[in-house]
Amino acid sequence: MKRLVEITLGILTAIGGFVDIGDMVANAESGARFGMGLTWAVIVGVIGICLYAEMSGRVATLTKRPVFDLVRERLGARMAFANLGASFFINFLTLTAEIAGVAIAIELVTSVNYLFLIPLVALLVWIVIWRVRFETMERIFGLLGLMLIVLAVAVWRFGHWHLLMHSATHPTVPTGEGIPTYFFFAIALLGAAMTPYEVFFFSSGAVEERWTPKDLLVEKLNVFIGFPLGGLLSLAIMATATVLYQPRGIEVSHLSQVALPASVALGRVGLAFVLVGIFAATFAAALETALSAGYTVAQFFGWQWGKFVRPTDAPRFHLVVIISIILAAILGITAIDPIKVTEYSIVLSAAALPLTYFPILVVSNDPAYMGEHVNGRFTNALASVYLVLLLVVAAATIPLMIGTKAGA
Amino acid sequence: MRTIAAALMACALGACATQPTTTRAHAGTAADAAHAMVAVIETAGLGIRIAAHERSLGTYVPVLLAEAEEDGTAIRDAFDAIQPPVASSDGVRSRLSAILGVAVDQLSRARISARRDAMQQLGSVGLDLRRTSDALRAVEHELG
Repeated sequence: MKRLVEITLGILTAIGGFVDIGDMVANAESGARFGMGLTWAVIVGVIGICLYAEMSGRVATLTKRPVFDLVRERLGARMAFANLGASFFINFLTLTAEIAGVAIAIELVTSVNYLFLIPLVALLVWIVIWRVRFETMERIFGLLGLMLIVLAVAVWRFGHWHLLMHSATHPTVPTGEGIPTYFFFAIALLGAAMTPYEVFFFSSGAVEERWTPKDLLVEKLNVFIGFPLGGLLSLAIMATATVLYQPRGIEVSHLSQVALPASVALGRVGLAFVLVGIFAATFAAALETALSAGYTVAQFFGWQWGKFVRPTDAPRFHLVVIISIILAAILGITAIDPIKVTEYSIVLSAAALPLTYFPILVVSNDPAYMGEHVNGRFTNALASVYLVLLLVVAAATIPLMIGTKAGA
Repeated sequence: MRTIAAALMACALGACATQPTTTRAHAGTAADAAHAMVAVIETAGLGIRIAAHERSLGTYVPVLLAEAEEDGTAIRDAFDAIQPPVASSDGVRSRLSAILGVAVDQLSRARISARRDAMQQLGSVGLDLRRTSDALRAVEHELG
């Protein structure tokens, strides 16, 4: 139990990062359209985020400097400012979608239109950030988000293992779908798994939790348990859609459809679990993105930041967080489609990945910062392969988005 | 669903450049609309099934059905806004338009029944939707 509590930062980051509103719908849509044929993209994404989140957490633990601090130092102020602009914009879109996602989750059980609930949710997000301790926040929402495991139980209940395994190990592009669309979805899933706010949040969280070199084992456990767990939940969502939706030709475009398989397979209890899980996951993602907005701006400008100091000691950090939440709520109540917003933010984040991950790789190899904890050869080789992959993905993202009309 | 509806809407709003210019293209658009509506009905059918078996909670099924109705309305409106390229396409338009209208009406009835917790009526609408789905599949098969 103590270990479980210690890895809640990783679980919270992964739940909020992997299974936010956009990921849930993207995974379900992938399953409905391509079966398990994009499993490999999720696995590639999980390995990539484990690799770079571990590096960023290790760097933050040893140097007390989170990712964006390093981005500015290594890329220079001008390049880092461009990265800040892109990251902040993508993060803001995601925050908008998550606040709307929480409201939609509440709508599913209350029938109150989600647009009326958005201001209330925004207020709740701010209150939690303002009042609740970082560790308490991550434990409550990280662990509640684990209720989404009910979707894995639903997969087990449905059976069809042979179909799922065959679809995962023999990926094909179904009739009626184009190869560019297939790769567009692959990029979306990779972007969802490796979205930059995960490392901003995770590395800042390591500083918030005051990890020391003695906590490096906890840091690794967080990464190597938390993130694969997020990946497993993504695959469970994809699998339920493969079994239930693909044979019926159903396309997924609503959050409610993510919950439906749990109800079909497990009845009311399954539905209750999945709805609480969706609420917790979207709320966790709203907290992560709101905090990440403050983290990135404050770290870029060198302001005092974090929840580990009193709000009066980090006023500009909290101001950025509050303004971001208010603006996201205002954008949300314009009835902009939150699913589309987050799908675009995922894809756009794929285009910005190298700018975030390159400085992490450089610093984690610098003995002046890392001492004996610099990357090993295997880590460097794998990280270099990923960096090349991310460059290819970054170059291909926008043309594929235009060419496929965003996967239409 | 929204993607297809948006694509159809884009066709409708995009003036002559994106309007189908041949009978075949129009038939293809009609088949796509029929396919999209079948998918919406299938989702609604699953919702009705869990409501009938008391596997739902709170207002989950009514909300699910309201979304299905919204998607169905978007599909119908988008198809209705498409200009048939030649007079011989009018038959396809009026035939499919009528079925899409029936589907939307049934989805509305399903949502109303679910909100009233009227399970018997909901089951009856479920059967009607099944028949409409079969009719749409026939159209899709014929035109696709």
